[in-house]
Amino acid sequence: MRAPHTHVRMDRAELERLHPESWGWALACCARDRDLAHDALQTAYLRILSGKARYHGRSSFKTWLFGVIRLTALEEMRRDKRRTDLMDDDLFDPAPGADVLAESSELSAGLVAALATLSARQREVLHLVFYHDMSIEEAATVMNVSIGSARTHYDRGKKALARELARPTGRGSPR
Amino acid sequence: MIERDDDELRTAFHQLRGNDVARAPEFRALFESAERVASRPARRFASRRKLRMIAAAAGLLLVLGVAHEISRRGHVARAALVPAITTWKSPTEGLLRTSDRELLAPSPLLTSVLGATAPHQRKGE
Repeated sequence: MRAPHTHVRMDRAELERLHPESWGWALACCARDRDLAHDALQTAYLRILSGKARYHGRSSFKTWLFGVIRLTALEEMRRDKRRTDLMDDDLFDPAPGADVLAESSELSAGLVAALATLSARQREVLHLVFYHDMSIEEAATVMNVSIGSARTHYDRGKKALARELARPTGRGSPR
Repeated sequence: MIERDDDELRTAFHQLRGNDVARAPEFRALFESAERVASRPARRFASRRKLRMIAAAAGLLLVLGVAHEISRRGHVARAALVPAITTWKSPTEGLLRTSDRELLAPSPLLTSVLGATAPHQRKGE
């Protein structure tokens, strides 16, 4: 372990505080596959512990952590053979499996299904803004895109999501 | 209208979040297993690094040895190729070896001196 012990301890407390949100973000990055999200989050923690991912204070700790989780999840998704044929250039097919829909059927299946129709970038920015209450600027930092690009994805994604949720054949409105 | 849509979306996302958080894996288990894995590769990487350094040092020694040997052999070969100044012969020396060489050669100094002085001596006698 390269980082000083006190630094790791401080990180641990912060990581523990953010763990529920990190889990939600890992799920979102892994097409809501719990196993993959589990592996991605554990690998992200491992990278932080081993010093491969280091926080330099250029953004908030949460923004930095979410960036690490996002990149790790993308790598896990690429590595995962089950999804190889569903992947395109840099992102995966957003269509969730039946188990994924069943998992969240009680409360949010409609939202999950509607989100699955969006592009990965649109899904990410909406998730960061509405699920994690981040600003578009913070979302842009996590996604490693410009603010203008993040804003475009946000606007288009929100419109597309509203259309999907309003569809009578869909799984219903968010309420 | 837009704000209402935003509020509805936020509510839906927060419901999803509540659902996810309730099923989140325990932090301690996840973090501590990551910690265990983090300590293992560190040792492996350390021993790998040591091996790599030893291999690099051995390689360096080998290269230095080979370079030294090549340089030494080069010196020996050069010494064999360059003749001493006392034994050196001109490459065109063969051209000077002609049949009338004796005629063209200057007469020995001592002989000519003696030859020139002998009659005088005889006259004086």
